[in-house]
Amino acid sequence: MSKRSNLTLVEDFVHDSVGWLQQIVNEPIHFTTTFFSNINEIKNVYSENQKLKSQLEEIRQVEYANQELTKEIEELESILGKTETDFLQNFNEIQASVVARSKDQWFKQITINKGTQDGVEPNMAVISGEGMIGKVQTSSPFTSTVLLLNGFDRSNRISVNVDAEETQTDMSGFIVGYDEETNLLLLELNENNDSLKAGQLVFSSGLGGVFPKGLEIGKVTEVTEGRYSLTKVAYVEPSANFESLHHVIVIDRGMITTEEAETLAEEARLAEEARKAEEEQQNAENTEEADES
Amino acid sequence: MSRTIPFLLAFICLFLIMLEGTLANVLTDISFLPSDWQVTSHFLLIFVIFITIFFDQRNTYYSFLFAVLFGLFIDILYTPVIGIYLFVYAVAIYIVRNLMKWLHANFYVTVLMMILGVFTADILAYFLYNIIQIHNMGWNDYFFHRLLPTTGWNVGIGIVFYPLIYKLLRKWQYIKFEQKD
Repeated sequence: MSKRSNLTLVEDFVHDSVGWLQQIVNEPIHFTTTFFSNINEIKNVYSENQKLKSQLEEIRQVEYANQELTKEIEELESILGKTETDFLQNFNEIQASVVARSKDQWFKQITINKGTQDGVEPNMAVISGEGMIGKVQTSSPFTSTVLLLNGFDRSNRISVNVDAEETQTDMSGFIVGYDEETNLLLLELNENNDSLKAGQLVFSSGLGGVFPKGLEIGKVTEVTEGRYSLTKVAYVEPSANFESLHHVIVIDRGMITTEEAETLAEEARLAEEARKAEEEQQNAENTEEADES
Repeated sequence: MSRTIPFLLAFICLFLIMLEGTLANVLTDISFLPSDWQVTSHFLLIFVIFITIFFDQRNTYYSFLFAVLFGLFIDILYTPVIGIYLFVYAVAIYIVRNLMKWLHANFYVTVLMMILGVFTADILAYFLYNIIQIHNMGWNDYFFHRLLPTTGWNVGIGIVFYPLIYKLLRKWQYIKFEQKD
């Protein structure tokens, strides 16, 4: 896969102009497909409704607890003097629609209708309602392409936490790739931990410096020994369904990402150099003036 | 009128490219197809083969132009590697064009050319993507799970729209090359 994330002007132009027209083509097709799936869904509406009603009460309680907790967290934050962007969990959401998928199934890539004008930048995480689906590969002013999780290889690792209920600390590891045959993600733990079991949930840890913390990725289905039995390797079933994607959310991490930090450091370094050069010049001028007098 | 015809053809090509991308999102979601099948749309190629057979004259090269230009569009829009589709579509059209010097333009020949064109383009793309390690699919797997369904799907669509496109291109060919105004 190509490593470039900056497109040339011509590519940007093609992406944007076709992407705009594509939305028009997309509308009738999307309408027809949703129409048929809607008819299918109508059959189960009654039983679903009963189930949802029973869940509603639960949600109300959770919501109340949530409000209380948020208030408490805000208070504690103000005591500590931390701002919102200091937390790994914080992010802004950018809603987007899928306008196309790569016509060649060898590329796990979709096109969405939001670009740099809406704040989408390369490497941002992308989620659907169920969980994380991938990251932004390239972005043009009005459209972006998203690399799906099942197209990830060793060069696009995700730092993850596995949620273990018994212990206080989460196990940390990396999603290192995707197994084409079983359609499962491969998870490598950093240390050999015996409490890794099937059924545990996998979340992004935010420590990779790119994605925020707490995005759901999937569920552990099988645990095996890694090479030399030094690490555990687990298979993770992705929560999101990569096959049917229509509406997605791009996640803009609130906290500064490593890339941004690097560019900021670079800018600071350049500014420092410019300042020094200026100072030297001024010193030289001063000495000249002193010589003249 | 005769000047606008190449632009009309180009517009149809552009529309087909967009349709390929949109349909790809629907095709992966269809439940009654076996899940390990990969069906890829090559509508642009099918349409350009029609142009080669029914529209292009011996001294015009519209089909080549469209294959190269819109192949590049497909590369930019749907793949991170630029140049593969540009090349494979151009090669497929080159073969079809040279064969059409010996064959009559009728329905059976068109079906044969569509099968040949899709085979050439898809197999070439398979080898090229294999060389640059985009995928590591075995030949058998590829042949039965991707090449045959893909050919069936594209040639099927081509046959369904044959009467319509045939009439349209014949008319436009008459207006463009034979009508004296």
